[in-house]
Amino acid sequence: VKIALLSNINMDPLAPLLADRAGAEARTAGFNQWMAELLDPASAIRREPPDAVFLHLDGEAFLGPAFYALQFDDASARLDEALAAIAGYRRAQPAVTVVASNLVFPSYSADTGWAIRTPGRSLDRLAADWNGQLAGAAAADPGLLILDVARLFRRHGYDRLCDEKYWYLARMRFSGPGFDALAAALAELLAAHRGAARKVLALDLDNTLWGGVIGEEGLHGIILSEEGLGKAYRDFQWSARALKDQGVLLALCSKNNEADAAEAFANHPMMVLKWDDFAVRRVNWNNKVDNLREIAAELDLGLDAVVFIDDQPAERALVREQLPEIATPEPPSDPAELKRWFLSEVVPRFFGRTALTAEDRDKSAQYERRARRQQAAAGLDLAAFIRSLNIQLKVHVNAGEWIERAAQLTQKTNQFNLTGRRWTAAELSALMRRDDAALYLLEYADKFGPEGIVGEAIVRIEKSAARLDVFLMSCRIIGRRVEFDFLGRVLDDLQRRGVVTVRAEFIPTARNSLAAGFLSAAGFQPAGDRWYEQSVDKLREHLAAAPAGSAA
Amino acid sequence: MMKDDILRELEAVCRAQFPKYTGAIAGSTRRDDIPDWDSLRHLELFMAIERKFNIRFTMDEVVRLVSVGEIADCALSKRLNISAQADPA
Repeated sequence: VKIALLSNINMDPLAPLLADRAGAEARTAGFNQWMAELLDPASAIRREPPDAVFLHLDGEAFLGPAFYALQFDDASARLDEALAAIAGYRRAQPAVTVVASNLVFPSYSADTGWAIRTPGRSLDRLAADWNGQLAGAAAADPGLLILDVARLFRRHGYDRLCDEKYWYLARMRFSGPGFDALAAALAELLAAHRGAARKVLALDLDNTLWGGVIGEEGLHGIILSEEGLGKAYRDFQWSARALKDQGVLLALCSKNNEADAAEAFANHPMMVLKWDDFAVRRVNWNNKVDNLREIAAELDLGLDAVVFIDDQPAERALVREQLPEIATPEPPSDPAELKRWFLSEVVPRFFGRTALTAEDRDKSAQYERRARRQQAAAGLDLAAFIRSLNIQLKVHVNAGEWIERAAQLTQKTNQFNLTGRRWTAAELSALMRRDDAALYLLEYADKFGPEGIVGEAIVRIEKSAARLDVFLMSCRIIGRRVEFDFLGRVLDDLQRRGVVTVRAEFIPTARNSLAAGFLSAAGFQPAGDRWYEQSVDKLREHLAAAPAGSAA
Repeated sequence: MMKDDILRELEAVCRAQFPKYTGAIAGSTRRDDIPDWDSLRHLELFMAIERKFNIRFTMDEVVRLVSVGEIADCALSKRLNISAQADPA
């Protein structure tokens, strides 16, 4: 991009910094030639229009002696002319974006205290009037942007960003750090204007959206309140929600039990964000690299659209190494700094936008609708999808080598779990030694690779009758009819053991509604409260007629 | 921080500031030795050094110091001053 730099002071050092920061070819106009450049039809920026014009008016220099006299009639008139000159240039060169700094006065003033409360004599009023007019002009002109230099000065301080000696040596106002900060802000603004903003904010939970670990401290143990550090986390949530309202998609990427997290969002009185504010959620114990990939894929966005915030250095290092396209900024070690850091460093750098459209405001809802459509479309072609996966299943009976995994599955599987019964590894090893019980484990692989042990059944056998004590499936393979194949394999083995009828129960828990319809769908008949029953023959017949998942 | 460290870092700053210059840069290198070292680059060089070492030169120093060695001595004394203030012991 080509940028012309116009100013009433010497801005020469900005050009090479913009080249470094924005790859921009920046050229400064003659010293204090800004008005002529804008208005003269023969000027360089009229004859050879650049991509953007940056106009920076230095407040103190603009006022001259009036800065000391605190008399602004003449300055006000000249500021009006400046606005008219900007508008005139925009009309003459509608393809050229104009970026104007807002007007800032120094940290010092000749006002001994009375002028700030005296009409016509106040520097603050003068700046506010001019900046208000500039904002009005920008509101009516999509090609006129405002560089918020005032905010830059609030953040870093006037005395740090400016250096008097360069003023007296060369009519430069800014210090080395000042030119650097200005170049960074201008580069960010121009990038934002080109729509370079990222689209997804992926957030960790524990020690990011609240203090403490929900899985350990529980709903009422986490730090999230209107007091102390709890308010720091709450304000960070307000900040994330503000981005959501401006079209940024929120995603959860956290190692937690999903139910714990969902409960916190549903029931914690101080929670600002809601569960449904997140367009995608990956709350599980999987690798965050995989989860972030899934988040981007589910939203149909590239990894370079994602910013990931996580308090854990190890997680950040892993994501930076394996997914360098994702921006993984370094949060402050003190959570009290979290909101300030996020709003002053992360947001301008990654989420800057120069306009807010109705579509932006509707963004999250738009993705929710899209996800529902995709599910409906996928439902039409499920059988073909399952066939294309080339699923391979293996059932292991009383296999001691997976006993830890078998115990873990009963402890961690909540959603597709008929009874919710928890078993320890020790209890399971005792069970396997009995003649009247069997432990079945399902090993899953498809064309994308092996998933390991993803299903489990514990069966009690009494002569010709069997009872399902546990029947569960890991959530990540649900939706491929594998649960029916697994049941079929279990029935095959039970039949060999002489079992004729099977009883099963569905015990509703807070989180297992996903499995509620399974027994009926598999061919069981209701047999009293929560209980289901069917003969092995009928079940096998029913399952054979239904489309199966696996090929083998 | 010793003078050798300062000189090494100053060389890096000068290399970034004067990319066309391929000759040696040492304490004895003077403004006249580097063709691109004009008055604007002189100020940009001091701004870059001030950024790098988090110090501020006076106006007089910016005008007076015209060799890498002089700049290094001045920058070192400012850095030592900061260290002394930060750690009175």
